[in-house]
Amino acid sequence: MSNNARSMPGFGAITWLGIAFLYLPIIAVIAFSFNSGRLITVWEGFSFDWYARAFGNSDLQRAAINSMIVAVSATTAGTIIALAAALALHGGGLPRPLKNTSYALMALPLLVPEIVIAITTMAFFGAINLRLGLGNVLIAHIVFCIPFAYAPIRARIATIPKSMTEAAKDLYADEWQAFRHVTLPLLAPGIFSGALLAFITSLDDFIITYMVAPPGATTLPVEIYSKVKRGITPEINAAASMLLAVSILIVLLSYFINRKKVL
Amino acid sequence: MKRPQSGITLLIPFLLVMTVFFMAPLCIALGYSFMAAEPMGGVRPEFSLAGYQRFFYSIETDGSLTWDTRYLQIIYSSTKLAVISTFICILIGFPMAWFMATRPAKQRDFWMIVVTIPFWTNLLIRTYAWILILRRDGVINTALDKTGIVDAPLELLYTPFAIGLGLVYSYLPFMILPIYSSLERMDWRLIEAAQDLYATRLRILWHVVLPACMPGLLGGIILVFIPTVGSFLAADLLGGGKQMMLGNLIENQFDKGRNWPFGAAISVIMTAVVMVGLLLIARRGQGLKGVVG
Amino acid sequence: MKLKPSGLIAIIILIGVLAGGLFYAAQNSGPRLYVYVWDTYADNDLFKKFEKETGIKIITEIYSSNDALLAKLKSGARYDIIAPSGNYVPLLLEQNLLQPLAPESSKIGEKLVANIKEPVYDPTYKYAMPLFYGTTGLAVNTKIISEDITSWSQFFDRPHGEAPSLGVLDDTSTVMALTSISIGRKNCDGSEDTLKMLQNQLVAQKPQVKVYGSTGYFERMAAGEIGIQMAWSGDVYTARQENPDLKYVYPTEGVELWMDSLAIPANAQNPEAAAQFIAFVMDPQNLAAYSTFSGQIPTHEDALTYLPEEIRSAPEFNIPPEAHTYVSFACPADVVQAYSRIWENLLR
Repeated sequence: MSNNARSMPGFGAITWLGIAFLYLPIIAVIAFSFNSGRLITVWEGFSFDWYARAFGNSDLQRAAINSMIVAVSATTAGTIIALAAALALHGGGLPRPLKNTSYALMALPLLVPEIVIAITTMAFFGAINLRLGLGNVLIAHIVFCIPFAYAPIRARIATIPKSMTEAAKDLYADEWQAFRHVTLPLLAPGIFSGALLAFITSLDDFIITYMVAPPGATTLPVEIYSKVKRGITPEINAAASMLLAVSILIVLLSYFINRKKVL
Repeated sequence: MKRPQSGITLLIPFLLVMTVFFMAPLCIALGYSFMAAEPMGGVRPEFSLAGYQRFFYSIETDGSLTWDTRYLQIIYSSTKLAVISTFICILIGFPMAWFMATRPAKQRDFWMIVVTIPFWTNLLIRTYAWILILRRDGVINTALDKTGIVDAPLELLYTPFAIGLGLVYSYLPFMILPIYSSLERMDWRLIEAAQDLYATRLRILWHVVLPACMPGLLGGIILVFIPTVGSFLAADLLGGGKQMMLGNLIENQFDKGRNWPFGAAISVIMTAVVMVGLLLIARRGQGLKGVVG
Repeated sequence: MKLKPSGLIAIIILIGVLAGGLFYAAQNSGPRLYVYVWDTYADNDLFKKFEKETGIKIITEIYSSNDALLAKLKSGARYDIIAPSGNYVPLLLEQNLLQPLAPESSKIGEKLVANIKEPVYDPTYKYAMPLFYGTTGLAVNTKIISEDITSWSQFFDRPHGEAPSLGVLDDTSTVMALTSISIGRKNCDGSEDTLKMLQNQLVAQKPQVKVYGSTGYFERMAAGEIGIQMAWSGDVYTARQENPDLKYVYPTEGVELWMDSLAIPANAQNPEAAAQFIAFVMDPQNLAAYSTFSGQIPTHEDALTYLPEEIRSAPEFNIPPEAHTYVSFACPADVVQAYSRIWENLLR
């Protein structure tokens, strides 16, 4: 009887259709990257050729390396800054206005439309004549990596009872020792999660990188975009599939890490 | 108990980065919107309202201003498309969130993962994939052709339909997850109680469920509407150049359009509207809190 | 001391960053040339040959409209080689965006084909070295469009009820020039009357247009998405290799004659390498190879002799003597603005 209202007619069907809808494009790209023929409509056989071509393509190589460098660096910097901010804000000793401003600053990159962030950053870099090549892209990425890393860390901090650090203090641990041996290990899953989220976001970013990147500093999504505009080839699908695979693996990794509870 | 001293030190890198590399650009854009445009791109450091005027007026050959609704129309059609897409996201997303929330607890993790994965994969790739699906010799047309349902290929790509589809597709998970999260926290006994009082499913949905998952619903609407209204990729890749959304209009000013102050002005107005909207929603309820922080 | 997972991860990250740094350094060391050209001019094989001969690495970026090129240069991006169209060179010169080519360029200039020799805007080839030329006409997909297309009026006036299948480039100056031809007016005629006629012609056509765009347009043609496409001759040749149903047409009212040149931006990081690149590309054999790749007509007389027969006899390569060709040139600033306004009105 209690099951009755839980099952709404048709919702199950909608859900399955919805899932199919969500995965159709992903499957399409991956499927067509294995088609040995060039045309989309004619399936000519399974082949890894296009993956080989994608690997050999120097534009894609360079873009992939740039993507990796930026993603790793931006994630590292962003996660550290986010961790510091989370500790500071949760610590409780800060004045309310400062806290509220910080929360607002933390949320803004997620709320301001991405295209606006993209062009304002580009205009700003132009105005101050910032010429760091890939560094320009890196700085722009750090800015949005911080909020993404912050959210899981914040959520995790909230689950750590204050009694933990107090217990450590009772055992004569100083600030740094309490942090290193108690807080940090407990926070670890949250930090990891945050880092992974920041990493994916940086890896997948398009519009901000597109507007901000100086010549030669393209990342993989931007390179794929300019190739897509010229016409979709199975080679592009191969490169895209690899990028998809990386993202999916990281999501799964993040999920499994997160399952560890505090106690 | 951490001393405020060390707290502030920890906060400084964050404040520094955000102020210099996020707030400063926004302020520069604000400034640019009030400057004059260099004909070939860039700005001239002189005050001018031309950026904002362009929204409403066009400058005739003799220099006079005439009322011009071109851009207002773009704003209107962008917003309309965003509203429709958000609405469709609710129509599809709510049943999905409900279904997920009514699965046994052990299964829910599986559903979360399944819905979350597309959410985190590259938006550009997922958008261009629709070209593969919708075009004349794409997946849909080939399937229809092989099964003989239609005898001429359907023109699906480069239409407003394609853009809308792209938008709904891109942001659907943003609607599902907040609603799901709200439904999970809902007290299901209320539903049983309503059932005991012989309420129909429809009434239960309207009077019990809807108020309970309002924060999630609002969160979902915010998370879908904002990116949709400023979206660039969907219209750029799937629209065939025939329909400009606000995101494309802004990008164009910094690209071929070569009118930075105008682009800055649009950005300022769009951001302002979004911020005001969010403030109103935040005032009204806990909607915002469930989303960030 | 046991190696904790966090320690392991830290080490992995460190190794990753170091490796990344090394890769980055390797990539970015040595002489480099930043080439910013039309998407159809990104001939990787030719560029690899240049890299082998000179040891200078080429990094290519592409654009598909002169407006985009102009905007990018104006925003301060630093490239070493660009390939502007003739009618944009005066604009670039005006804005001081170009630097002089090497003095030897004038010698190459002597060997250029007659009908594009000594361009008005730069007769001594001081700033721009003509690379390719061609016409802008119509590409027809004979499978979709069964009638014989011979006139611009058939492009602008499709029968009512026909599904939209037209493709229009989004290069404002090109479109305006051709629309002017189609209504029998001179290009850059800024009179109130002509402007209105141009706008009406384009707006009336809009419901029948499937795509406004220059990027990837010939891929769309080849894929059979477009029935009649306003097209640059060389691209039609390239598309035709993939889709034999395509046909290039010189409408009777006339076609635009355009020319693209190589130039060195004023803020180039490596102008010496750029000069080497130009000398390399203008070598007749290299130019012929480049021409075969891009489908465009080479400007150098000797290069013509190295072209394979099927290209030399292709319709895109041979302008029929009876075709009216209108050389594209830059319009005065106020007309350009008027054209921009019409274009914006169109793409609401």
